[in-house]
Amino acid sequence: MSSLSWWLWSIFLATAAIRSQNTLFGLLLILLLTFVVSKYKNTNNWGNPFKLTLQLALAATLIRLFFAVLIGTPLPGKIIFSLPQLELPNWLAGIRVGGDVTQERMFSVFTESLKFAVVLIAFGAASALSSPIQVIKLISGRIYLFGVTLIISISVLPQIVHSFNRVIAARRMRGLAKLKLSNFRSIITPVLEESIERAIDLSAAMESRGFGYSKKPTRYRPEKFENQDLIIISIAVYLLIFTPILIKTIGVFPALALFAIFASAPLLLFKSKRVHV
Amino acid sequence: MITFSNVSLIYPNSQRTIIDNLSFTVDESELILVIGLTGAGKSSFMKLINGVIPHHTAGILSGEIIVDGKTTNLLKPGELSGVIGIVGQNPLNGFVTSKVEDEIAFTLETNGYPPEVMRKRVEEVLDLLGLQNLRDRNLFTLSGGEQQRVAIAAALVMNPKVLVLDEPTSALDPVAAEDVLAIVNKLVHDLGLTVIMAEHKLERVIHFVDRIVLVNGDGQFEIGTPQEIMQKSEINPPIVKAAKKLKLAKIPLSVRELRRLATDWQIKKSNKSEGSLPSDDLLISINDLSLSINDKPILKSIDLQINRGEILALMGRNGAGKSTLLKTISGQINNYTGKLTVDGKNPIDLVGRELVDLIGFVPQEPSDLFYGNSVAQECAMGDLDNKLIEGTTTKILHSLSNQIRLDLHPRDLSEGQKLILAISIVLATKPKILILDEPTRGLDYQAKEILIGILQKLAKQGTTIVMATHDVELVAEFASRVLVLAEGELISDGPTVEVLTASPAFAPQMAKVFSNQNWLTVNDVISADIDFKGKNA
Repeated sequence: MSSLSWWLWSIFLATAAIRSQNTLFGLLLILLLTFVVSKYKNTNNWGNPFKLTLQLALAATLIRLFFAVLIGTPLPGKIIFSLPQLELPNWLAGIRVGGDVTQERMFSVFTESLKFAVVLIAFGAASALSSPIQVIKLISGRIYLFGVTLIISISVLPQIVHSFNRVIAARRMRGLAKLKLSNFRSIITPVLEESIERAIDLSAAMESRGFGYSKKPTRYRPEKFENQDLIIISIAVYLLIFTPILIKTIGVFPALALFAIFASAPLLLFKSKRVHV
Repeated sequence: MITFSNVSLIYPNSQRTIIDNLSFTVDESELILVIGLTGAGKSSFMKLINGVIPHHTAGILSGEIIVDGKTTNLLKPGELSGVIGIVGQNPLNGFVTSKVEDEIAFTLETNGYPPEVMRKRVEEVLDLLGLQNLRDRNLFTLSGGEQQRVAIAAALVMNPKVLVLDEPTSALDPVAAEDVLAIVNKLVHDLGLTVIMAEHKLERVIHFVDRIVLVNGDGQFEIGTPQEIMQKSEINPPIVKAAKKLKLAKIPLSVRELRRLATDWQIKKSNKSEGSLPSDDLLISINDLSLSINDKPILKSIDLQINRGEILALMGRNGAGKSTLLKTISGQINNYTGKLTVDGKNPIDLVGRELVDLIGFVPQEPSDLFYGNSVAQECAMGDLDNKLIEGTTTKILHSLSNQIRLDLHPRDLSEGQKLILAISIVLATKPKILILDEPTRGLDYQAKEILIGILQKLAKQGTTIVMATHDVELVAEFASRVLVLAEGELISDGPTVEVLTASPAFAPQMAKVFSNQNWLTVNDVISADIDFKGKNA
């Protein structure tokens, strides 16, 4: 499947899951994306963007739940447990610190964070499945500076991680053991200087190689946009439109089953692991 | 092919003239070598050829440069991408895509070539540079030599008339460097390409270049045949240095030429000074050390004892595990199996002052250590970090070199000066062991001589030195023992003379010329009693 199709597919499905207003759809989609990524991951990508977004989403959810336990507006409902409550002045009525933690409150926070998590994970999945350079190439020929900036930012990232590790190691060898916020500069300065140098080198190289001069750049091995791509994207669009309606008409669980089957379209249409270009 | 007429270049906000009224012509299919000290303006000169300066990087240019009938004043670098292929100093910095094949096709794509033509061109270039079996590989996983070859392939795919190479072999091991240079030679001779190349390691290239451009650093350029320039210039490879010191009438450029001259010589007595024997006081002990990174074995069962006062050189191809071994010894890597002690301790347990009192580590990029705004601040912070008496680091810096201005930003120093600053910072705590990872990378001859002087002085004071390097001439100059790593295994360990003369890839020029003597350096040769009339007399 082409890079663009992967992006459209994950964005549409994520929107569909959010539109369903149902946590089960979100959770199902996350499972499905994890499976699809493990099967079709683009091995030419640097690092593992999917794992990173999974971790980020998890961290964000946990932080939100933590604060939901601690602070919030008092919602009536079933009390799970109680914390000692802090007395607040009258003019802060409507806010609690500590106190009763209700099931309703926790559930609504979880639903909210799941929406965010789904978007984040869909983004991660799309970048793991596609080749970022291919996507940029689609846009970049038309908007020159935009393309240069995107390519540079994507390819400088691995180098930043690399030099960051190197500088941390070098610091230790200078006898600076503890990492304090005050000497954070000693890490950031060399890393940034090197990234800027690399960015300048890269933009000069792109300039020398004629990037953006031709009105009609061609593709060496264009990613083919096949019938399967069209089918998968259409299915994703239909799911996006009809999921809420399906839930209303045939009930949550039948709708969930249909969603699961149709969202797995790529798994059915592409059997073998593909090598991405 | 290329004509410079009255070209001058200065940078804004700078007093220095980089190029002062340069006029000369590069002929069709000529191989031009650009030499000069670092910071003299070699890279600026190279970047002028396709107009990256002044179109991309600021610079005030007067005069005109005409390449293949086109003037760079009017054309932007991108419009010359079909005429000039340019390969930068660090190929990885110039890669746009992540796959070998895509990278090679990139320039064709931006220039709008039809897919059929692209396929043909890419195949041709892959064949030309022997990259067929690497075509699907990720660029980041290639070795340095392979990356350099991909960068050259990506430049050649447009069938350019001119190829500009900025220090193509500076990061490569001797074997990979020979590969790349052999390809350059082939391009000039078989395809008639005009090549302009900057290179510090003259001994690798000087015998096959047509003319040399010597960048003096004050804006003046000297252009002439290798013989002429070698007579005038201080920058000499070992062969030329030996010939000059021995006052030979004709300056030989290759091992072959000097060897033919030397066949008549009669060597009466070799006065090679034998290095002092190191103590038998064990300092670093490694037993059966293995290490894997991401399930890939990097070091395989290494056994190694290093005594106090030894000067150890670690050699081997790129990716053989040299840097990893150095990092392990200095306590930066802890997931190894086997036993490692440095001065009776495990280096991983050491932190802060304890660590820097024992081990001084100069990383491959000396600037990783820097975070100050000026050299003076850098030294002051070194003292502060390790609670030394104020001025300790500055004093060491002055004893190593008095050329470095304290008010400069560390980034603005030349490569050699950066290295000296890093060494000063590291030496401030008087470590027992000094570890250097590729210290001569990017250094010119002058800076290398200063470095050798510094290291020799340290060795005399009893510091143990362990360094990873590709530079056989540096190793020949002063290492007492050489280790060769291949694929993570220690394949050779012995005194410098034995190891270096055993393999042609590692033999220094003097050893190749005088293969029946155990000479390694120019000093060994000039200190010997030689009868030049010899057999003919």
